[in-house]
Amino acid sequence: MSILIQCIFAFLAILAFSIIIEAPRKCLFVNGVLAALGWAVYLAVLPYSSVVSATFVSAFVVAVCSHILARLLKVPVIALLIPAILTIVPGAGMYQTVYNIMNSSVDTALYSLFSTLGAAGAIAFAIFLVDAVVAAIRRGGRQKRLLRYELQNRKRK
Amino acid sequence: MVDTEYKQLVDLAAMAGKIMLENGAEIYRVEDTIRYILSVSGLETKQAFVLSTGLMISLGDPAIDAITVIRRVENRGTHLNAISKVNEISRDFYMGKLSLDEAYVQIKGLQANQYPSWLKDIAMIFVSAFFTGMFGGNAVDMVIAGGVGFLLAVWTWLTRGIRMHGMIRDFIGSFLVSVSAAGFLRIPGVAGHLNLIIIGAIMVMVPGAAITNAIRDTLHGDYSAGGAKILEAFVKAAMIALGVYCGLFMMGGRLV
Repeated sequence: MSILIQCIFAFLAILAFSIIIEAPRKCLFVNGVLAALGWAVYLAVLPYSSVVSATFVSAFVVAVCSHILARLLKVPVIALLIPAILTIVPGAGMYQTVYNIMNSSVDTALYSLFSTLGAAGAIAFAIFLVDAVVAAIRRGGRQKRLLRYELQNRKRK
Repeated sequence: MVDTEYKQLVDLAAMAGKIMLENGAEIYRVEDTIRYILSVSGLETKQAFVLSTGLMISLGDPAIDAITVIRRVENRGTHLNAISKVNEISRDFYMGKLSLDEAYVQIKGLQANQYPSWLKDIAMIFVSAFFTGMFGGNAVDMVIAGGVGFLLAVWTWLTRGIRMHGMIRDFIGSFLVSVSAAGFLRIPGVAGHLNLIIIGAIMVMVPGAAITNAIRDTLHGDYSAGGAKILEAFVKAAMIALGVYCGLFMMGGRLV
């Protein structure tokens, strides 16, 4: 129950955030849904594993969905990926690190620094993995498309 | 194509690239867009070299004198619709749906703002309230976070006209966040989770877009741009954290 409520809040938060960073109008709703999905996956995986692996799974799911939906909506992938990934970006960890450094509690500072770096790395690796697979699939498609344009242009001349 | 058209083509590519770079597109996307636009000329050499702070374009052929332009990019923000619009125009131009003049006029007069600025300020209130709820805050936390978000929106509105350094703006903004959050909790009879409120409210300023872009640039092999963006994100995050710390220190509060 509380997961559902939190996901609704994730939807609303990212909807509002998409307005601030001027996401295209047709993406607003989709961004919110993607963010809610990402947060639901994160919360669902978290009890069975660590923060880092939950972040990785969530980022992976969101990245795959953004790539597919970006093709369907004909928008650049980042118009979906940036807002949708924001829920799991370790913003809290970054400032907890600095806070603990300033408070000279070195143990807690190191702990939050490494969990922040781990979460950031997990997001990076998930996005990279999906990007690389999509690039490999696209390379074939692009060459076919280019060939088609060339044929059309020849006909026009 | 004649000589003047080559000039206009390079100009078009430079404008498109500059708009994309200013609004937070990835480096490889900017380079791809420029190369696509230049490839319409059918000339031999089409080069685009893009950094996070500027871009260089060269179009050349044995038959003509090479045309080279450099554009410096000073302001960088996140504006997804501008990227999307330029992407659309350049794709239409490449596929022959738009002529050179049409594409030039469309890019030059690009109006990408879809939402009025007051709506963005109001959205800030909701972002901080709902993020607090998302991280597990209760109704009281969310109301307080909404109040903090309102102050942040007022601060953004006040500094919109002034040319203030972005880092200083974030520092004072996060200082306001922690001071007001701790202040609201001082009101007798109000109890809430200070850390959830602060984390929710600073999500508006946290460089999430910069981090995502930095990762994609780095892993695409644009190390100079990726490194610069990672540094930018870290400095920004440190500024925000410093602001929060100073505010809490002043209010004598403790992060629980």
